Amino acid sequence: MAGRVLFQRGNAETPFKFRISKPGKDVESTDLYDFVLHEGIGTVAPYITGSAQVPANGNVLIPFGRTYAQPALIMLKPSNGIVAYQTQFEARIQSNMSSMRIYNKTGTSRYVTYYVYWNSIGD
Amino acid sequence: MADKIIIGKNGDEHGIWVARPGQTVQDGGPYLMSSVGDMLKIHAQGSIKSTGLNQSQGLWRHKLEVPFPELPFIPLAFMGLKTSSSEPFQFPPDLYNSIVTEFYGTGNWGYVSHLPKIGMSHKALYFVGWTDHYECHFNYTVFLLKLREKF
Repeated sequence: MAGRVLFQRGNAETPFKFRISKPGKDVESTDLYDFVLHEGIGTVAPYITGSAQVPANGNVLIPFGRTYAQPALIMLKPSNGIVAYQTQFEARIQSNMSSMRIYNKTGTSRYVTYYVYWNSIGD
Repeated sequence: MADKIIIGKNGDEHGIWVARPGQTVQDGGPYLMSSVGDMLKIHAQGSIKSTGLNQSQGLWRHKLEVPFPELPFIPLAFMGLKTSSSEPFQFPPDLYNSIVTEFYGTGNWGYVSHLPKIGMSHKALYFVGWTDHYECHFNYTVFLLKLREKF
């Protein structure tokens, strides 16, 4: 019978394993792509999320609540479906690496939802 | 019964479900994690500096290839760029100060982007092009997520 979840305690004889396979895939698979979660793969998880009304041709400062060594992975979701771009809106991580400014480059106030992840871009 | 974590059978499915704070698995999604809904995973990431190879007309030529373990598809990837130590990373890169007018040919002029092009394949990221910056610092993260079929 195919297994879906495998937790194995690590010791001198056996390696630590924490694996959850995708539907229809066996937890004994050697293809990392067959897993939802695997001890050998880093996962992406949100750290903070929120929304801000960014004024026309203005910006809003969003503190992260922690300092990143490398630039945080950030995703922005607008209320009107226009993707982030330099002439529309964008997020700039500040030099203190613990906050960002969301800039609105247009003449119309914009409502933006942001997701700041635990993860950084790069290491 | 209200469960925070289910490992095993949940209704007609088998797997693992972890509820978010203040909720139970029986409340339904979104979950903190579940084996039914896949999670975004990192395939490779790093920080790398590109140094200009040669200079022409005030611009530096960059040609950088960053390999990662080969995948059967072209993955989703994010790259951040900065061209000085005091500048914050930008994604996507700010092209405003890198787009200049140039004269070429006889009496012709146009806009030229002075920023290395970022490309990706199923096994590497590429930064190739001319820029007026001798050093370009790139941070990248490649996800285990298919963007499209490989060429």
